[in-house]
This record gives sequence, structure tokens and C-alpha cells, in this order.
Amino acid sequence: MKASSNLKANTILLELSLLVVIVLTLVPIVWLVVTSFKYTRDIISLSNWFTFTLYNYQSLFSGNSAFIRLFLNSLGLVCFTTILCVTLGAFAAYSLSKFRWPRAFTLAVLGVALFIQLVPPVALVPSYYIIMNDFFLYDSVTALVLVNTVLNLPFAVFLLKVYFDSIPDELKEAALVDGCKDFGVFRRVMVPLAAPGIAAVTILVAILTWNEFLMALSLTATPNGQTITVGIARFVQEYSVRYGDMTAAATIATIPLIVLAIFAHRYIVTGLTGGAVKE
Amino acid sequence: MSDTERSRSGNRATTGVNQGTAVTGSKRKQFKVLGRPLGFEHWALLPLLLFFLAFVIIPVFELVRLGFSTVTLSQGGLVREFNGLSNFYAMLEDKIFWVSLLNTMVFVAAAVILQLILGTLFALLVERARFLSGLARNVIVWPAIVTPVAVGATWWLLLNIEFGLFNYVLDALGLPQQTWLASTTWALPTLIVVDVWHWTPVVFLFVLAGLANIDHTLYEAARIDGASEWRVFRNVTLPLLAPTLVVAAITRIILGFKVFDEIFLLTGGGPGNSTEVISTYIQEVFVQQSEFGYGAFLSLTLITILIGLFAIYVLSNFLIGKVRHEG
Repeated sequence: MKASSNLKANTILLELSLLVVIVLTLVPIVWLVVTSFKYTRDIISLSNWFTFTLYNYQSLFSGNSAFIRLFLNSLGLVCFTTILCVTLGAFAAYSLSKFRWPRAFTLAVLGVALFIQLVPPVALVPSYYIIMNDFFLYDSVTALVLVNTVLNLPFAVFLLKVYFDSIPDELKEAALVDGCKDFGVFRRVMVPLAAPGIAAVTILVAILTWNEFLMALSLTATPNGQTITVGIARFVQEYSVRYGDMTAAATIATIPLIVLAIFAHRYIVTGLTGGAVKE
Repeated sequence: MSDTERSRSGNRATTGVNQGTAVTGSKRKQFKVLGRPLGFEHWALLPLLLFFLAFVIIPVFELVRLGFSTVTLSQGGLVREFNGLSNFYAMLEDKIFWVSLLNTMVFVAAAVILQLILGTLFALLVERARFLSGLARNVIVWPAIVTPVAVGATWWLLLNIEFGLFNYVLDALGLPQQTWLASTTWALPTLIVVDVWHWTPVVFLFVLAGLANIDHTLYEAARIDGASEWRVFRNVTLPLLAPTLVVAAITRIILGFKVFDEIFLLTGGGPGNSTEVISTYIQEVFVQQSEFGYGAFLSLTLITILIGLFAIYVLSNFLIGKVRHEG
């Protein structure tokens, strides 16, 4: 009898602690979203009550605001980077996984990939700045697409190689015997079998590119090339902080990610753990 | 080991197939790479190699060239003048650089240790809970994918001295309000808290996967032997979880050294240099002071340090493996 009531107390304690963890995780996110629906006077007042308003969002998307441009830049950046990165990554990972390359060559390619993952991107900013200047790409979305692609390629190659490695070679041989060309084997057999990996890479590369800030800050100067993250930072850094615009912009950046987290949870888990967890 | 063996046997199996494609691709037979006619595998890898050449190999050479030069801007172009080791001597005397390096180490060490402890704790809770387990599995991951700049903006609101939630709660509890990010003592610890909130989810995911792989009969055996819950965790769960925790720690340390966005937004390295980390400092030297040569040298130093740390890790792993093997 005593043991069972102890067990009950334990269960309640367990669920309560988990509730605390969930609340602590959510408080900052909820705080941001709620603040984005307040007038500035309500944001800086200490009152518990506020007037609900969409004013901040209207001001962000009003005619003379540069935010629309930044938002579209971010969307374009994410689309092109993701397509480029996943395509190149899939072809390269398949080639390294299912064809005979000299060991030293494979190690060299993977070594460069590891180098990119190891080194903080800030270390490459000086070189990228000069290269982009030389090719007249400074302050363009193109420059950011190229840089984001190369920064995310190692992750794409490593993760997809794990998936291709786990597909038996016999499948490739069988398809070749059946008359498929190499490209046909890749497209019709291998890509469908590695689909969960490709989904995980696509989603995570899209998220990381959407979130990227350092390169967008260092390689752009005007709304021509700036992205939404630079826009948010500028609202904070100006002499008078524009709380309303800042929170609305940060909410717009965050909500699509939360939606992904809810509906594409398992792919995000695979991506965040670098393929260590395959669900 | 098993991985290389597998790929080797895979290679052997595909050799015959490659010869097959050589016959069908005989039109292009004159091009040979590494002793083979140019085939699908070459075209498939070529774009990646070009990307690596253009955006890794060449940039690193450029970085080396810049790092040993004095770079001046004249008429829109860059003039590099070789200056030997003078950037190195400048770095030795640059107090801010060493402070930023120390801050980075403190930041990474404290944040990663806290994330390992909390991540493990959360995973244990989720594994045992029944009602909230499913919800928690999903929600706990959210911070890890929220835009880092938005995280910065959010905590900027929460930590605001006049109207932030933190001071509001302290006030309501009758405790003295804090200056948080404006204090030279508390700014770095506050940023560590932000980082812990942001990245504990990744450790949580690793540990959750590690726990799922542990055979549950081991727990039962230990409990039947009369071990307390703490002893079960200490002597069964933790040793089996150790390899997972090492992987999680390495992942977090590498990402920890890259920290930039939140610190740039929340403190910009201040007050004073109390939260200056290596990334914010290099970015500042490069973008704000336009010291291209010196900035490049600092980048090279950072790259060397990280490769050194990684080499030590790989080497020690190798040696431990060897000792175990012989023992």
C-alpha cells in the first residue's frame, strides 16, 4: 500500500518536472510572439494588460519598408541554396559511396568536408569578402547562395553517404543488369531508397540557410542582398530600438520553423544529430 | 573499421560493373581519369570538387596570403604588401584577442557541461514520463531550430533592465533587480544561460537515442539485485551512455566555437570586452576596422587551434583504443 502511494507520488513528480521543462522551453518563444502583437507603449510599460494590434506587421509590410525585399531575398536564398546543396550533395555522396575511388582520394574529399564543418565560418569571411568583390557579387543574393551551399555541403554529403552506404550494392548491379544506365540507377533506385535522408537534408539545409546571419551581415551592405536575419539585427542596433518591428520580424522568421518542428519532427531529429539518429 | 571493410568489399563488387560501363561509354574513351574512362561517377562528383576548389581551397590560400601581408585599400582595390611575421607580433601584444580566446573557452566549457547535464536529465524524464512524454519530445527540440538572431532578439526583451520579464519576476518575488547584460560580471554567464536554452535540445536528442539503445533487462537485473535508482543510473545507464555523451559533446564544442549571432546581437562583445568571443572579435577587426591582413592572421590562428584540438581528440581516441585492445 505504501509502495503504491510512493509510486504515485513519483509519477506526479515526474510529470510535474517535465511540465516545468516544457514551460521553460516555451516561455521565451511565447513571449516573443505575444510582444509582436503589442503597441510599443504597451511593450515598454510594466502593465499586465495590453491592446491587441497587428500594427507592427502592417508597418513591416507597408509600402516604404525594405522588409519585403529582405523577406523575398531570404525566400530566394533558401530555395536556391537548398536545391543546389541537395542535388550536388546527393550526386557526390552517391559517387563516393557506390563507386571505386582510390582511398586517399576519398579521404581527401571527406577531409575538406570535415575542415568546413570544423572551422568557424568567420575565419573564411576575409577570403569570401575579397572573392565576392573580385567577381562583382558583393551585396548580392547570389554570393550568399554560393557561400551557404558550400557551408552546408559537408553536412549533406556526410548524411547522404550514410544512407547510400546502407543500401546493398546488389540493388545497383541488378538494376544495371536490367538495362538501367548509371543515371537511371541513381534516379530510379537509389534516390527513392535514400528518400528519408534526402528529406532530412532538405529540411535542415533550408532551416540553416533561413537562419544564417554572419555571412549575410559580412557580405552585404544594402537591401539588395540583405536577408531577414540582417533586418532583425538592424532593428535592434539602431539608436532607438524599434521593438515592435523587431519582434514582428523575429516572429515571422520563427513561426515557419516551429510549424516544421511540429510536422517534420523526425527529419529534424535526424538532421540535428547528423544522421546518428535515424527514425 | 567495419565501415572501410564494407566499402572495400563494395568496391570489389562494383569493379565488374565499371568495366561494363566502359564498353557502353566508348565514345568518350579517350578521356581517362585515375586510369578509368570518364563515367557517371566522375560527373557526379565534379561539381562538388569545383565548389570545394573555389570556396575552400582558394579561400584558404587567399587567407594565408592575406595573413602575412599588410593590406591597404586604395582606389577601391586591395594592395597586399608582404610583411613577414609582423601580424604575428601584433597578435602577441593584442590583449583583446587573448581575452576573446579565453572568453570563448569559458563560454564553450560552461555551456557544453550544462547542456550535457540538462540534456541527459530531460531525456531521462521524457523516457520515464507517460502523459507528457510525447508533447515534450516535440517541444523540447524547438529552441534548436529557432533563428539564432530571433533568439537574440527574444532574450534582449526578456533581459531588458526596465521592462524585461526577468526583472519583473525578481521584483514580484521581492528580490533586487539585476542589470544582466550590462554588468561586466554577469554578462558572460547570462549569455551562457541563453546558449544553454538554445542548444540543450541537441544533447537531449543524442541522449534520447542513446537511452533507446540500452537493453532494458540490464535495469531490471540491477533492480532485482537491490540497486537504488541512483546506483542504477550511476553504474548501468551512465557507462553505457558515455560514447553518446562524447559524440554530443564534440558536436556541441565545434558549434560552440562558432557562436556569433546571439552575442553580436545581445552584447556586441561588451560591456568592455567582457563577452568578446573569437568570432565577434575577428568580425569586428575585419568588417569594422577593415584590418584585412591582421583579421586573416587571426583567422589562421583560430583554424590552427581547432585543427590542433581535433587532432588531439582523434589521437587520444586512437591511443585509448589501442590500450584497450592490448589490455
